[in-house]
Amino acid sequence: MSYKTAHAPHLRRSDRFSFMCADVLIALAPLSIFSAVYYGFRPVLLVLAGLVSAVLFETIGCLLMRRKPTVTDGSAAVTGAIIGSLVSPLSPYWLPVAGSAFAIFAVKMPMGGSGRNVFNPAAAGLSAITLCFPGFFFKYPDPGIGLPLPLSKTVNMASVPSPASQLASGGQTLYSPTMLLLGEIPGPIGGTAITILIASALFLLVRRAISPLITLPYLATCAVLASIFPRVTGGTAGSVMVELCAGYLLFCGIFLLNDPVTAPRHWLGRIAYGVLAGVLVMLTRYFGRFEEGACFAVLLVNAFATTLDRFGWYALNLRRIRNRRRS
Amino acid sequence: MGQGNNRLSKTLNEMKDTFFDSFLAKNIVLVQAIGISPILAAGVTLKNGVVLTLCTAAVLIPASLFMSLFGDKLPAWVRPPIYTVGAAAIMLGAAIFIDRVISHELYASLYIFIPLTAVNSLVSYRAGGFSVSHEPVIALTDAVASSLGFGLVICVVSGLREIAAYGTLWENPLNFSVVLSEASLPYAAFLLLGFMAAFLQWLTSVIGQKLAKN
Repeated sequence: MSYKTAHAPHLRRSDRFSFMCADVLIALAPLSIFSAVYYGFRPVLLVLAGLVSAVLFETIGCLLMRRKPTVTDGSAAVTGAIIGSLVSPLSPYWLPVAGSAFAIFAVKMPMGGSGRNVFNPAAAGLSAITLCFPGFFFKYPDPGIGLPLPLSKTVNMASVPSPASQLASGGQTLYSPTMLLLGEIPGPIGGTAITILIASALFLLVRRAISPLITLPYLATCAVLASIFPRVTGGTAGSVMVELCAGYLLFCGIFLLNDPVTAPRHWLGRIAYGVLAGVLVMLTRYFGRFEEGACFAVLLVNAFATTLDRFGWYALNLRRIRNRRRS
Repeated sequence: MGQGNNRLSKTLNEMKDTFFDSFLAKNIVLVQAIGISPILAAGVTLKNGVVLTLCTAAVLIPASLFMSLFGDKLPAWVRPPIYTVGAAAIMLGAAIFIDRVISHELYASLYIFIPLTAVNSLVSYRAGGFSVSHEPVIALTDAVASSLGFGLVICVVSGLREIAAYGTLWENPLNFSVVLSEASLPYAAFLLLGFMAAFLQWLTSVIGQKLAKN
């Protein structure tokens, strides 16, 4: 008997991967459009800068490695669009480009290109730009200004503290639950519109591009930790609400953790993956250097993905394994 | 006479092979993945890199020589304490020398890593493993080549990180407009080491193909 070997994503039909990537891009589009309502066309251009540069870099990488170009599967476009969606609307245009360059050239291509990367390239690119340029990354405009941001290269504007930075400093939160749900809060382009994020998640769930077995345990873990260890005054419910809506925690649970290449396949492994991701995201928030460190947590859980897959299988087959050992 | 010449050329050949292996083809850091910790933690400026290379050589060469001369006469459980204590004694001298003679600032930036060199896995692996079963000349060649291989890697990594993080090289300003201060964090060194290891694999495979053709 011969075994067939194939690289991730392990889908029943290999052409489904490009459909999944197209679905993710469709789900990302309303987020940048929502941001454009508040800040003008600058957020859209930032997302496009990330997307186009990631596709370009992947093409260059494939040419350098003398491989068949893999950009048609759409994974590079998703990587670039996610990086573009998580920078601040105030950031310069080279910031998502730098993130895409790191994601493709330092994380995706050296591991063997599309489908062979151990770590989520978008999370790695975000981690790199968070670490290298925290001054640009965490500078958010006030959504209440009512003026579109200038499209020119640099924007000199006073930034306002986001909910995540208020959580980090403690005390009373300034944002009501309605503001949080409607997305009238300073934050990254795609991370603030909670209602639209939930709608995107439902769309992707229906299209089976994301798995509820990862997202729901992740959000539940974050909520439980937020209710046990609140960082703001004003009750348990308030703490859970602000923690889940601040930064890009929800975005991370929908788009970053559900990457079909790096997430586990086994259902029990997926639940464990979600729980572990939730714990790590909250730990990076409580003890991390930055107000939001979900991308670091994603990289950490990615390292455990295969182990968790194996753990799921062993946990369900314990009795069979034991019987085999006895006999 | 002819036999003596033969032996000499055989030893020389072995020395050459050992040197090439330990220095490049089986580089102690990039292929054997030993002694990475000082590169991550202290290899931030070129000066640190050179000092750590000298410290490693100062420990590794005497330890290897000693173990190849007397190692097989000692029981296996005695060897690690002996070369560790010897290495610690050498490093104590080196620390005092750096503090008093070279500069106190350099000592202050390296004081935690100099004693750690004495218990570096690099020393125990080469001196306690390779040297015991080899002749003194070969062990000496291996120690020198391993130190040089370690030195090459740490100097390249620390030089690049110094340029990126502080915009200087050997404390000479290079007048760059962009400075990436995060290059001094350990993850930058991990990335650099990964790319260098991949480059070395590529290099050895290319050389291997060329040698196979000839």
